[in-house]
Amino acid sequence: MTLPNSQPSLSSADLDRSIMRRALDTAINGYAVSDIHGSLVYVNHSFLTMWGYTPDDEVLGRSVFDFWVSAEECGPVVASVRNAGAWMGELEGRKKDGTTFVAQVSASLVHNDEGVPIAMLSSFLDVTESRRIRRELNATLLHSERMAGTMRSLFNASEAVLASVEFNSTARVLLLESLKLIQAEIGIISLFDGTEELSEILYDKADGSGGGVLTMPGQRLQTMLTGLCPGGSVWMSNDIGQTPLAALLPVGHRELRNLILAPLIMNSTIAGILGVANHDGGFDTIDTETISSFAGLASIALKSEQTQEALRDSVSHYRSLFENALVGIARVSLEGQLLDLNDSFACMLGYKDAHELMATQTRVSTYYVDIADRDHLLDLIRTQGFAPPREIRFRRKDGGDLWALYGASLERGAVNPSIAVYCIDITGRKQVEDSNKALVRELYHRTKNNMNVISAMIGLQLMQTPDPSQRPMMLDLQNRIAAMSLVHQMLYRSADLSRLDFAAYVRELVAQTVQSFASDCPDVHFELELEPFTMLMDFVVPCGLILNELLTNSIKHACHPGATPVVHISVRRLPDGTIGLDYRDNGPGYGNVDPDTATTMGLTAVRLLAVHQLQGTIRFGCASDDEASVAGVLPRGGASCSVRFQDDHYEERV
Amino acid sequence: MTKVLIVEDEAISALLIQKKLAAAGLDVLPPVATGEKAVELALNEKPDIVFMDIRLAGRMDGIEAAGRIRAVLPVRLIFMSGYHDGDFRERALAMNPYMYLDKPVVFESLPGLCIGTNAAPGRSLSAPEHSV
Repeated sequence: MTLPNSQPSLSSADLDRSIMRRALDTAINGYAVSDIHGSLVYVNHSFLTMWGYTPDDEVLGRSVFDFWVSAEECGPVVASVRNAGAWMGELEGRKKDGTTFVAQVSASLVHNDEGVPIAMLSSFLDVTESRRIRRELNATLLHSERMAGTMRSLFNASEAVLASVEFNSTARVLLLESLKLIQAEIGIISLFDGTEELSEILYDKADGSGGGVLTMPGQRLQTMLTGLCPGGSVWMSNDIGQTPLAALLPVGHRELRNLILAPLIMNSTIAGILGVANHDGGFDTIDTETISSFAGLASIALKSEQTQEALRDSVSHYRSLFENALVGIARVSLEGQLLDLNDSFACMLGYKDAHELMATQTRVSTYYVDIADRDHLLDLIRTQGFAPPREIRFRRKDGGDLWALYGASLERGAVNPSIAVYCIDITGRKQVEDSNKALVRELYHRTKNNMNVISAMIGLQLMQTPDPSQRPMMLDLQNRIAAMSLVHQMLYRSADLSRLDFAAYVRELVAQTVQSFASDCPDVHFELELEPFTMLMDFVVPCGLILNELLTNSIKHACHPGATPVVHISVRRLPDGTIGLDYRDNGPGYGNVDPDTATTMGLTAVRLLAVHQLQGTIRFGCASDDEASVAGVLPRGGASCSVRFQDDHYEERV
Repeated sequence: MTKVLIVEDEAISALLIQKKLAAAGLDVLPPVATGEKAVELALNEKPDIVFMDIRLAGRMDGIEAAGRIRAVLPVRLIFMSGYHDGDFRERALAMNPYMYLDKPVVFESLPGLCIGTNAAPGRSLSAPEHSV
């Protein structure tokens, strides 16, 4: 953008003409200018909007009188501007569509340079809404002040007050209290419950004058009364003899002629009816409004009371849940002090009730058998705000154990944060688990014993066999049985009834096998690289049988005078979870036997155990072929065997 | 000759032990299955060594039977057990036995007792040995 060479200077005439005009055009207030006779020569945008015109409408040239409701009001205003030079006040405007509004007006006379009046300038503000709010506020204030007095006199002048409320006795009491509050001298008021078979309406006054009893099915009365006030409107009659209600009036009693019924609205539905009745005088619309207002107040009071009641119910409900729960529940301070607990919890800990426990020991830490459990729990509470249920052992009053499923969470909502804990007694379950474990242990033990008996039978046979060539076969059988038996023997001793420390097993298997060959081959040197990890027995048994075969082969072939057999066994879990079992010896190797196809029982079994049972792979070779071979230790490059498998195709069963 | 009593309720196991010890040249009494019979036979036969299983048929366990025998006779006790329960083991070891063997007993590995079939018979347990 380029600027003109000579910038025009801003004269006061320009100000008048351009800027002031623009200010008027865009002002929020409405502005209008008329000539001295009252004919419009200028209006701004806000003026048009306020009066409901569009810029296309012909407004200029029209008389200012056209825009006000009353010429009688407008005339003096115009006169006052002309004579006094200004006027300020409120006028009722008429919009283009005929509707009216209240405008605050400020008008003044405009003179030319010679001091001759040439125009009238007015500004306008629509004050309809603010006037309405102020009026309603005043009315409400006035109304509420008058209300109690009006109600009082209405109820006192009436001979009966009816009310039909679906609510419970609290609602009745409340309604009665409300009536007392406005000092209505109502002696008896009967409220009937829409669900009751029969209900009564008593219409007595406190002084006992007049009265009677209406008795009819509550549901029918309710329906009829509700029908009289459709959609929540107030119903009034000064001759109820013309209505269905007449049928309700007791024979022989003073007749009530005048009746107002107002609905009690709750949650947008008619929940009850409030009514007043009298014999003489009749009611008017003011009475109607009064009873309607009172019904409105009563609705609010009932609603509020119902909420309070729900709250009280809720509190007592939860208290009752707390006290009667079978689950142990307690509240504990962050410092570890018991604040509250239920009887269930106290009984679990061996106390008569919560009271006895609270009077004995409120330090939570004293109940833990292992204080580390509490520290762990507190850590979780601090970091996560809750501790998921865990099995924790507590000490009972009698010194016995309470095994509990125990969880806790931090109660942040309260003014003083505390820990809510809940606990289920699982001591019985633990005992059953323990006895199940004992049974499984016994079974392992018996299995092992039976295997030993089988082994003993073979041993006996062995002693009686005249043919020495049968001996090795029988010893092999005994060793195979022993390899399996060892698994059961170790499981029987182990805390875990399904898994074994594989390294420990290999160590014992080696010792056991060496012992069995002690007389034939007393000096075998073992190098064991055993990484500690556990494995299910389902994997340990085949591994044990494989190792037993390999060991047997090594000892048989590597053992001759002058040589020290060396056996290297490595077990480890590889980074991908695969289990690696590597075996090497310094014997003569497989010689001319191909271990991959050999049909001997031992090698066939080894292949099947690795591939079929362990679902793994097996590789036979010369130890010197193996890149991991420890040169020097195995100088002669004996037999090697590597098994790889994943221990994931069986699951824990005990 | 060293006289041995075997107390073992598993007949086959008892038979094997009997044969092994006999083959080693010991004078082996007929094995018994209960603590009561063990006490009775021991008091009559006065063995030098008692191979005692811990869990037995009958009411009396091996430890009690061993105690009753010990109260009368200075026998060498060799406990045999498949149970590793601390309780049994502790009670057995408290009696200061000559040996405490895990079952199955590997005779070939017994110190001072080389009973392999190809070993020369006649080696006895009479030489004092350390207890396990």
